[in-house]
Amino acid sequence: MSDAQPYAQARPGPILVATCGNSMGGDDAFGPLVAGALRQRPVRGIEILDLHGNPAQLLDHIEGCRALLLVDAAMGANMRPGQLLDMPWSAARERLHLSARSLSSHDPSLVDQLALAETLGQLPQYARLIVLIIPDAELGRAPRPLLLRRALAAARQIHRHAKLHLTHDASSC
Amino acid sequence: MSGSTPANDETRSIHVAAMARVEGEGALHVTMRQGKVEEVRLEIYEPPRFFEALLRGRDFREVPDIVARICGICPVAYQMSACHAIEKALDVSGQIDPAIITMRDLLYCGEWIESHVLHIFLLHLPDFLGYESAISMAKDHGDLVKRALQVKKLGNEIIALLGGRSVHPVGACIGGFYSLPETDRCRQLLPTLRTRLDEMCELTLFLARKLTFPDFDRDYEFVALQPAGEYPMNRGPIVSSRGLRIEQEQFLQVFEEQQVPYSTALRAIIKGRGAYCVGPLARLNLNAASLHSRAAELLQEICTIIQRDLPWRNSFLSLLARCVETVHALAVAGDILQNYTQPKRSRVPVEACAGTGAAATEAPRGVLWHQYRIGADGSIVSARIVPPTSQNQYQIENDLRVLAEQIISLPDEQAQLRCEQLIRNYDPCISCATHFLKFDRRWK
Repeated sequence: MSDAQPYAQARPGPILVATCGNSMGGDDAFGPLVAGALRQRPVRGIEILDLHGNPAQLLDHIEGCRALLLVDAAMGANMRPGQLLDMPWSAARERLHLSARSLSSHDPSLVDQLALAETLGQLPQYARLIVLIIPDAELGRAPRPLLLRRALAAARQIHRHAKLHLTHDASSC
Repeated sequence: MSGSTPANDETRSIHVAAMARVEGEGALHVTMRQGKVEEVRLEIYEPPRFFEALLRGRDFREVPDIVARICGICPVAYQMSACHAIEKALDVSGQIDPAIITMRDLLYCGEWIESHVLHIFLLHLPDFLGYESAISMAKDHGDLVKRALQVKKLGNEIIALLGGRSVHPVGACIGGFYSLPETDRCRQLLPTLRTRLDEMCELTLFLARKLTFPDFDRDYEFVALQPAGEYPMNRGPIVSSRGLRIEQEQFLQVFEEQQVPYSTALRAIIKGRGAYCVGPLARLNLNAASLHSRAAELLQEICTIIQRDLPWRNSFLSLLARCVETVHALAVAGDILQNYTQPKRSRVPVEACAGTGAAATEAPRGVLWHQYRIGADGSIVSARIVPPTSQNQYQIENDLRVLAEQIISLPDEQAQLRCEQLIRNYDPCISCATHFLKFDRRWK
């Protein structure tokens, strides 16, 4: 999947921002924090879906969206904690060596959901992953202070992506 | 993973590389001695233990929203068990309007539909069709998966109708719901629901005809709720296939949670008897006469196709039991929506007072029991939650012990796969996964 011509080939529909994470799971709260930040400054055309800890819901909402921005925390042996990464989904799988468990503690994982959507022809051409690399996700622990700063940064990036899509729509009318 | 093939007399340590985490970790250790299974240990991490501690000191009104986070797949079950238990503690159970009771059933129908379909088609079916995952299965059976996902989506729409959203629904509260939908909104779901009901019947018959189920009949003690004249979800005494019949409040007099040294999960037994089995197979075997007529007809057809009448004692048949329950839930949901009129009030007023209450409801995976002690100021003094997965743990281990001997000659990789398949029969919350196991088989 190429990111070269995302706007021209985008289908009509909302920009779906799907966040995943456990607000009681330490740094796994990243996704819900981003959802919260986005809701503070709503943008027309963006639909926010907080999947909490249940990525299995994603496929119920993916059909018909013009773009998909996935937000989650990830862990892995080859990743540096604290990094905020933003890349096309196709690149994310290769560059981050994402396994099913990197992003999700519960099956079907987010990786599996997206792979399934792709297999079924339901994944929008424009799909990106915005992920914060975290060291751990401990149930009951408060998120680290860095998390909120990263969540706000992620929200700003999402607004930039949305603006590009929506600006293209306006200019092509 | 070593991939070695066992030789009976050798002393060997076979270790499979640790699989990635699930909600905590699941691990299976099998010790073989001279060709016999010496020990089977299934290790489970149990989130409800943490939540029991978290709830202490919280206001009773916060409990449904907190416990909904114990499980992302079945939040409604945790909310319902909590609401019923707390309402008993506050002595308002008898005041809940019939309309609210019915809408709680509808909410539960939504969860059964969503959870069962997810498990059947995305987690369990690949085992039976010989695929590594739902993704590889979808390449060859895309239409089947798409149709199933549409049914699952309807389950979530029902939950969102009453719960405000499908993920961690927030509409349920102590005493009822924060609000109930207008009549027209409910009726709008009916055409889609009828279509999905027909679809699910077709899909079920397809599976019954196509799938082969391994021979694995076992002598289980099945445990489920058994309300008079209805299939269990939100109420009913607790019964078993060996004559047990108790009120929900008596749960701890009969069932005991034991600590095992190798697992942070407590393992439940029936005192004086041992392991038991909860879940769709238990419910169906104990309550088939109370199925909705649509599901009862389907069950009849299935029994003819697979040439097995109830009781079904083979845990691999739980897949079909879930199919029947999904059809039941769809049919019941349709009846409720058809007859729905928005009630005057969505909840009964509830005031804080000291008390203790216990309740059980039927989560998709089985009996889920809650008990709360509430202080005079409405704060939670203590909480006790017994989830279905921990109740099945001992039975899963017993099944694995039998299976391990049957598959003794298989290489580790195949043996692990067979063990995972068996565990998935129980749809446990720890593992709903292809890759959850740390599988370790040792030969002595």
